[in-house]
Amino acid sequence: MREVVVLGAGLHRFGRFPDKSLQDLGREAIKNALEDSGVPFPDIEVAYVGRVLAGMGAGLNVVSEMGQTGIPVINIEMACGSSTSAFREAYLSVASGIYDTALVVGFEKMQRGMLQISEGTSFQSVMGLAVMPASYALQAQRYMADYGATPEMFAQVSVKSHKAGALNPYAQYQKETTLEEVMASRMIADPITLLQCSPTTDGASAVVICAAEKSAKYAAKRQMTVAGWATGSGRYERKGEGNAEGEADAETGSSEVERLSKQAYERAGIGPEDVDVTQVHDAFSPGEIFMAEGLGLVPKGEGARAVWEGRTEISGDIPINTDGGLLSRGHPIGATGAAMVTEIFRQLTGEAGPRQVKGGKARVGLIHNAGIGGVNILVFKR
Amino acid sequence: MASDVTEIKPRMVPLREGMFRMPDRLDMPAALLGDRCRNCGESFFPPRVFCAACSSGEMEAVEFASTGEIDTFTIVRQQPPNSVMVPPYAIVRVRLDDGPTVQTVMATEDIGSARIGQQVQLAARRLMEDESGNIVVSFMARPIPS
Repeated sequence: MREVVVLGAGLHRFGRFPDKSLQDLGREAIKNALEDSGVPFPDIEVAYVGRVLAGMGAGLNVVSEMGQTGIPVINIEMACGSSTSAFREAYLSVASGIYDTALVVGFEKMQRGMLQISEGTSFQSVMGLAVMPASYALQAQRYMADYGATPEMFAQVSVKSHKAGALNPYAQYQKETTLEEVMASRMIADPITLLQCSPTTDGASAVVICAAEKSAKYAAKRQMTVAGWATGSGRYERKGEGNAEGEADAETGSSEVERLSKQAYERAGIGPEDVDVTQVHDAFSPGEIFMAEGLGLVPKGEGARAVWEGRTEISGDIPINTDGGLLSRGHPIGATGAAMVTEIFRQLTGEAGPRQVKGGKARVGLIHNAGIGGVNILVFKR
Repeated sequence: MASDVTEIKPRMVPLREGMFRMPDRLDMPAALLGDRCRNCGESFFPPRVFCAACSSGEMEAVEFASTGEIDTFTIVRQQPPNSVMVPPYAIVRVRLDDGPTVQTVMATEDIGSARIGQQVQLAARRLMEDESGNIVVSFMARPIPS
C-alpha cells in the first residue's frame, strides 16, 4: 500500500440555511478544500460522498457542480459516520494505487427534532425505545453508578464544547455557555439535558487526498499523512462481555472502540500516549467521556473526571473536540466525519488559530466517528 | 346465517404476534418468547434465525423467565417520533433471570421505581387501541416489592 496524504480540507459553515440547497453547501466546501490543497478539480480522479438523508444520486448532483469530468462519484451511507467511511474508501483507493488523487465530500440538510433511528413501524419505535439520546442516557446512568460520576460532569462536556465552538467561525454555535445553563436546560433523557444533545444541522465538508509520491507537483504548503485506521460494524458481545451487553452497540459502547482503536494504533505504530489532539463522536455529552476511555486516552472510569478537571480542553493535556465537536460545531450527519478530518488537518498543520493545541507542535491526531452501522477510527501524523 | 352479534368485550391482541406468552388478563406476567443457539448457548430476544454470536442456524425456541433486574434506566421527557408512549416514561434495560438483556418501558404508574438493581417482572400492559377497537398489549416492567 502506498503512503497517502491529506493536502487540503474545507467546510461550508455548519448551521441552519433554509435558503441554501445541498449544491450550495457542497460547492462551497469542495471549492474551499480544492483551494486549500492546490489541486485543481480536473485532477480529481474519484469522489466518495458521505450523505444520509438526501435522495438518489445526491453525490453526483453536488460534485458535478464543480465540472462534469466523468469521474466515478460514489455515494456512501453509514448514518452519522458516513463521511469517515467515505474517507476510508477514498484512502484505500489511493493507497492501493488505483487513483492518485481523490475527493472526500460530506453534506446534509436536516429537519429539526429527534432523529428517527429505526423503522417507524418497528416494535421498538412504537414502544418508544428507539430514542437516540436515551441510548446514551442508559449508558450514562450505568456509568454514574459504576464510577461515581455526577450529572454535572456530563454537562461540563457541553460547557467545554461551547467554549471551543466560540473560537470556530465554522461552528453552528459560537457562544460560550455555563454549567448552570446546561444543567437548567430542558431534560431530554435523564441525565441528558437539551444542551447536551447535538443539534440538527445543515453543512458540508470536503477533503482532498493524494498519493504521497505524487503530491510534490501540487506545491502543497503542508500536508498530513494517513497513518492508521480501523473500521468495524459492532461485534456482538456475549453476556458478561463488554458494556454493550446483549446488543452490539458500537456507538455508545466503548469496548468495541477499545478493540478498533488498538488496531488503528498498531497500523500507525503508536500508542494512545502519543496522541496530541482528538476528535470524538459526542452526539450526546457522555460520548466524549466514553470515547476518551474507549480510545485509551484515559483509564476506564476516569473520563468524567478528566473532563471535569479540564484535561480535554484546548489547553489541556488530552485536548478533545477542539472545534466544538458535534455539540457545538453542529452535526449535519453526513458531513460530520470529514469536518473532523478538517479540524485535525488544521491542528496538525498549525493553522487552527485560537484553537491551536500544544503551541502548534501537535504531531499526531486521532478521530473517532460512529454511526448506526459502525465505527471509524483514523490516525494522522504531520 | 350470519350473526350480527356485537362483541361486548374488546379483544386483547399482542403488539407483535409471538412476542410474549399472552396471559388471559392484563397485568399478569408476560414471558418473552425468544430463542437460544443450540451451538453456543447464547439466547436472544427478539428471536433470530442465525445466532449473532456464532452464526449457527440451529436455533431453538425458548420462553424466558418474566423476572429480572434493572441494569440501567432513563426517563424520556421528549416525545419521540412514531411512538405511542407519552413522556415522561421510563426506559429500562433488564437482565432477565435466565435469558438475555432486553429493553422495555416501565408501566406508567411505576416510573418512580426505575432504578438500577430494582427487581422487576414483565407484565402484559395496554399499549394502545388499534383501529378495530382491540386493546394492543405489550410487555412492560413492573417492580417486584421486596
